Amino acid sequence: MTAAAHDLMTVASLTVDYRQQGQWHSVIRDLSLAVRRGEILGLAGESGCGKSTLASVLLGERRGERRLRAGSVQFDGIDLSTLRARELRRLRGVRLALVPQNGGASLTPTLRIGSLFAETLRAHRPHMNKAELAAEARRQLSQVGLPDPTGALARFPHQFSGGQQQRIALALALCRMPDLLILDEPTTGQDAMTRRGIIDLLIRLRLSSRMSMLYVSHDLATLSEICDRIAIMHAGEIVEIGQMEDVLLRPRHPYTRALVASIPRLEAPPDPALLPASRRTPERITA
Amino acid sequence: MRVAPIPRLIVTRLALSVLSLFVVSLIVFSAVELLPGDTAERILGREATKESLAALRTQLRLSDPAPERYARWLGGIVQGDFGRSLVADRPVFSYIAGYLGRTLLLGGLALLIHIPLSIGLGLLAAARPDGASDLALSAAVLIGMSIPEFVVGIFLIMLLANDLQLFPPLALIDQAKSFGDVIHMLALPVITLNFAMTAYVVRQTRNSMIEVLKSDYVRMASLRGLSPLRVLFVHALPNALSPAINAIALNASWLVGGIVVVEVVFNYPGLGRLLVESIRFHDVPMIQGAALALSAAYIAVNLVADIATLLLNPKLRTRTA
Repeated sequence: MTAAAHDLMTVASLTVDYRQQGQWHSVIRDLSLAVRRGEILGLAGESGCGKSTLASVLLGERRGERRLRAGSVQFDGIDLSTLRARELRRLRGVRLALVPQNGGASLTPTLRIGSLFAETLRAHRPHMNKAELAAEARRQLSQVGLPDPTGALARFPHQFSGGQQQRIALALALCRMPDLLILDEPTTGQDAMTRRGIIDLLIRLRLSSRMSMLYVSHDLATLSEICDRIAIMHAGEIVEIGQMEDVLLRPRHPYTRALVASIPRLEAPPDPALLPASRRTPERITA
Repeated sequence: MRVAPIPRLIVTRLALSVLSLFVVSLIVFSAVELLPGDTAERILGREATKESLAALRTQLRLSDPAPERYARWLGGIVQGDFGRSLVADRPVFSYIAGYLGRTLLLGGLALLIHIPLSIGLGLLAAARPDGASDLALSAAVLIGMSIPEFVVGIFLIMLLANDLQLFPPLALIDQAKSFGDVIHMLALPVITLNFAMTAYVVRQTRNSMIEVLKSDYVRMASLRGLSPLRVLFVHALPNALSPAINAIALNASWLVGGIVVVEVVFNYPGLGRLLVESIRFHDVPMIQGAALALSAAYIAVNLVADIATLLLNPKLRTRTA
């Protein structure tokens, strides 16, 4: 397979600047990255390293205070920066979707869940009738494990818990089965049950579909559960990229080493020197 | 937290409105009572003879204690009897109904222009925050707001009625022959009222729209591939309207008072002018009736605004799960 057939999203030598007080500052520097078809690629790094900016650029978002100074972003062979607004809109939701960090804030407060699904489905398939729209929305909501999907359609976002709102946001992103799903810290700030549910669903999806995912997170432990490959981002650059196990077990870059060392464990490890020899175990890494 | 569903809320607000009106009636009555001298002296003035004063006091039953007279007045109002005008010697109610109708017509027309105009200008300003149109709009509406409405009114009469002769200088609506005439006559007072009201709503709409356009749900709506018009009018605008509606409600309340001045400037036969003239003629029952009717209008406007805010906000209109 050629590289183009292999890769769904290709970022080549991308440099992105932000304007702050009249001056342009680079937040992404000469960054190259590819998301392969059918893979889950993790993108890890501390907050402020440019992860969210990269996710936004990959979605083709344009902002006045931001410019793509160099490089290109190609989605399935299409250069996103050359697309007109209408063409970009045809990709969004259908082939390219985002699951945001704060699902609750991403749902319009004045609209019922049923309307959010209906308009999203209808934006690209105008011929669907009401019953079909409702059936499809119910199917999506039960897929993400939301209790009482039928009742949920008539309710407003604020009538759900934070975890349920996140599931609804995920269902909305999935409802057109996009080719590439970008997840921007989708489990950060969620309770353990919601986090588990979302991770399990993503793993199931990956087995049942050819959907590619870019999973952006600062949480290596979560990424290690589902990603095939992982890219480590630091100060606007990718410092390391490779198979999950390789990067976690044999980190090469000093920043990756620091990040791996900071993976939280279930309990604080006791000082080995104080333990009897039989309980002394080598350092474990969940991989 | 349990929030009452809408019908119960409306009933509660209505009950509160009746209570407010009751308190207002007490204040209106006491205000007239507290003026120096008694009602007969105020009506007849300094030149009154002792005999005429005594006759009027008997006619108005002024020797009865105040609470008794208040109860009688209130009892009458409940039955739609506001007393008789001392000047016109006709029931106050028939006067007030006609004048109130015309005031509501003027106020309603002013609001009908005001709501889309100010929200539209607010959206225009929010499209490019701190852009040229935003700054020009802010300046223009602020200037409009800072000039008192009687000055704006007189200026408009000089410019549009006297010099350009586009509109009649006086809104003598009794002489209108067609609906077109009515609109033509009301144009200047409506413009005058809008000058005073626009700034605040434009500012509120602009600011809340700018906030909402930055929100996650607007971003997500456009990332789901929805059309820009749908994102703007279905996702952004309804969520930006609450502050604008509060500002419009404040304006509508202001209108109840502001309209008095504008009615006098344009010689418009509304409740405000009736009130001013009744004060000039010391027509106590008419003053009380007109004041009460204006207060009722004020309370009704606030009630409508409250309900509109409730209807727009699902968090207030539904129970939380």
